[in-house]
Parts: sequence; C-alpha cells; structure tokens
Amino acid sequence: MSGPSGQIPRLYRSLLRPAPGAAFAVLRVGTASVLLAKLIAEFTHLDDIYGNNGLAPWMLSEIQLADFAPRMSWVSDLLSRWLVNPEQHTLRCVVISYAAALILMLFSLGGRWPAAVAWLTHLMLLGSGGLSAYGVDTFGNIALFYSFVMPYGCLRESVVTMGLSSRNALWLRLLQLHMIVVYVVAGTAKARGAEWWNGEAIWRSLMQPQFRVFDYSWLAYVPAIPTFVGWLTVVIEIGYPFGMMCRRIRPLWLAAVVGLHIGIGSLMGLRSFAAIMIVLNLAAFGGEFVRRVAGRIARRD
Amino acid sequence: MAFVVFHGILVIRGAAQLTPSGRGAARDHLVDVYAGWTGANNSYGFFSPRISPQVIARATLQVEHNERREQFVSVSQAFDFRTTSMLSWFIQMDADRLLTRVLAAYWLGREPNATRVDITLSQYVLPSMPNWRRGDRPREVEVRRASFLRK
Repeated sequence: MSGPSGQIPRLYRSLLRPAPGAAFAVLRVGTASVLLAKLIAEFTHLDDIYGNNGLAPWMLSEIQLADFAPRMSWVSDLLSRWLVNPEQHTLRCVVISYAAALILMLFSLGGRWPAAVAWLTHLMLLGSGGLSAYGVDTFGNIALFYSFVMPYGCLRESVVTMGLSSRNALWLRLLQLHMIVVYVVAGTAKARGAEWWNGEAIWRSLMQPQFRVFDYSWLAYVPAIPTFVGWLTVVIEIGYPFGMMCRRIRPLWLAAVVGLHIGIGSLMGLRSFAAIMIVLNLAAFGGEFVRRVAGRIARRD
Repeated sequence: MAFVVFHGILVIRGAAQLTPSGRGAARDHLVDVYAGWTGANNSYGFFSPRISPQVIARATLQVEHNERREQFVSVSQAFDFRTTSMLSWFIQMDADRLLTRVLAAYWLGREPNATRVDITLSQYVLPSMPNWRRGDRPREVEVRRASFLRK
C-alpha cells in the first residue's frame, strides 16, 4: 500500500507523462479557423464595432484598460508620424495584420510567430472595442496565448506522429488546469443561483431577443425540460475535473461538454463562442482521440 | 516548470478574483500586466448566478423634418451580441446617461443630415414560466430617455 509519500512521485510522473502533439495542432488550427470565421461574420460591421467613430470611441473603451494593455491608439499614434488622418488607416492596418497572421496559423506556416502577431492584434481589437467584448473574445485571447507559447511542429507531424516530451507535456497540463478552473468556476457560480435549479435560467437565456433562434415559448408548458437542462449544465461543469481526469469516463465527459457547446451554438446562436470552447476542450483533453482519428485517415491515404 | 506553475497560480487567482496583497506594488503591477495580456486574470461566471434582463436601445432620428426609427438590435446576430454586451456593460456601471450620449454621438456621426436624435434605453422583462402560463407576456421597461440636438 502506498502512503502519501508514494502518491507525490506518482502525481509528478503523471504530470510529466508524454502527451500527444495533436493537442497543439488542434489548438493552433482550430483557433485560427474560429477567429477567421468570426472576423468574416463581423466584416461589414468592423467600423461600428472597433472603429474610433463606431459605437464606443477608443477614448471611452480605453479608459477601462490597465496600463500597457495593447490598444488601437498606439498604432494610430505611430501612423500619425506619416499620415494626416491616421485613424482611418489604423483599423485597416490592425485587421489586415490579424487576418494575415490567422491565415498563416491556419496553414501552420511561419512557426509560432503568426500566433504572436494574432495575439497582439487580437488584444488591440479587444482593448479598443472591449466594451462590446463577449465570451469568444476572452477565450480567443487565451487560445492565442497558448498557441504562441506551446511547442510547435508542422501540421502532419504534430497530428500523426509527434509525441511530446515530458517537458512539453507540462504545457498541456497547464491548458488542462486552465480549462478545469474555467468549468469549475462557471459551474459553482451557476449552482449559487436558484434560476439554474428551477429551469428559469434556461428559459430566460433562450427567450432573450438576442439569443432567440427559434420560438421557445412552448418550454413554459413543459418546465421539466429547461429544469433538466439546467441541472445537466451544472453537473457537467462542476463534474468537469473528475470527468476529464478519470481516463475511463473522459471520452463520455468530453462528448457531453462538446454537446453542451453545440447546443449553445445552435440554440442560442453563439456559434463562435461554442466553436472556440470546443477547440479548447479538444486541445486540452481530446489529443489522443484526434491523433487516433488522424492516424486512421493517414493510413487509409 | 516554474513559469508553468506561475501561470497556473495566476489563472486560479484570477478565477477566484483575488487581489494582490499590495505589499510589493511594482511587482504586483507587473504581474497584473502579464495576467491581463495572457487572459490569466479572467473570472468565468457566465450566465450566473442569474440571467440579467437584456438591455434594448432605440434611436429616433429627425432628418430634415422626417422621423425615422432605428433599433440597435437585429442588424445581424454577430453585431447584436456586441451591442447588447456593450449596453449591459454601461447599465451595470450605472452609466446610462453616458450611454445615451455615446449612442447619440454615434447616430449623429452616422447621419450627417440628422438634426435631432432621441435615445431610449429599456430592459426586456420576461415573465417567469409560471407567469407565462398565466398569460403574462414580455414587456419593455424604459430605463432612460434623452434627446440631443445638433448645434
């Protein structure tokens, strides 16, 4: 029987156990795909969302920023040395750099530097258009940071063959810890509100004009459904660390979390948010699964 | 290893919304800058503990004696999430007066021929499921109304 002193080396070995490199390829390519799709969806409203003459002028958005947080006015100040009206060109400049970096990330070109450029420009857009930011921007930032700092390999190598050394596996453990913190905090915060236990939270979310994709008013006559979905959401989120750390039930829990986000994306219209969460989950806990699927496809080819 | 542990601690600290001790101000400031850049300072209580009512903004523009009503919601869903998020932020900050000014400036800038703009902020109040079954329906409760003239 091993005592507490025997558990510590076991935990240490478990933390440093080599991991599949597919996780990082999923993170890099998935993040780039989601953020590019979001940029395309917002393309006709970029001036309104991020421009200085948009809904919230930079001066107002940037008041809430901490010192040294990247912002559009930095680029504008820089461009003012050469241009008479730099504000017009600032947004264009930042968005083009952002899109170019995401495209390079998508095709795994240029090493880890495209992720750094995408991260910096994302922070600028988030900083100066931050009053209108929501979940996808927050998690996009987190995903871009990990895409930059995590080990890099070419796409085919990463997905099919690359295994991570113990040292590199630590980065994966960090991403896993981050995801566990996200779900435990979100789950416990929900569990504190009565609305999540009696179905009202699901009812109110689905019936708000901004999230209403279909007519959900019939749910008021079958309150058992929103009540069950509310309970299920809390259980999936609070149970996340146990479900993901136990290797036997991990596939089940991963499927449940992905299903939860597919539900949010399709029933509430929050597609970009759902997609970035699925990418982060697959990167953190689905590396082995992705490698197996990719290996099968590669063998067939 | 040390960097990974450091980042992990910041993620937990951010999620628990703990603030630095304040003893090492310069060091805390550097850590805060790092946490802000990397997203390690985020807390994750989405849609919790309760769902806040949605804030709706409307603008009525007077363009050369013709009145035109504009709604901020329902331009496109990608845009709607952002406007709604911004409106909620101002209301949470108790800055609804500032919000009406921001929206008025936006519309007057967008419509150079507009001489006057009226901004209305309201909350979309949804009845509970039992009340819905009793016949109650959603209503908009006005939070603030303001008019702005172009000088």
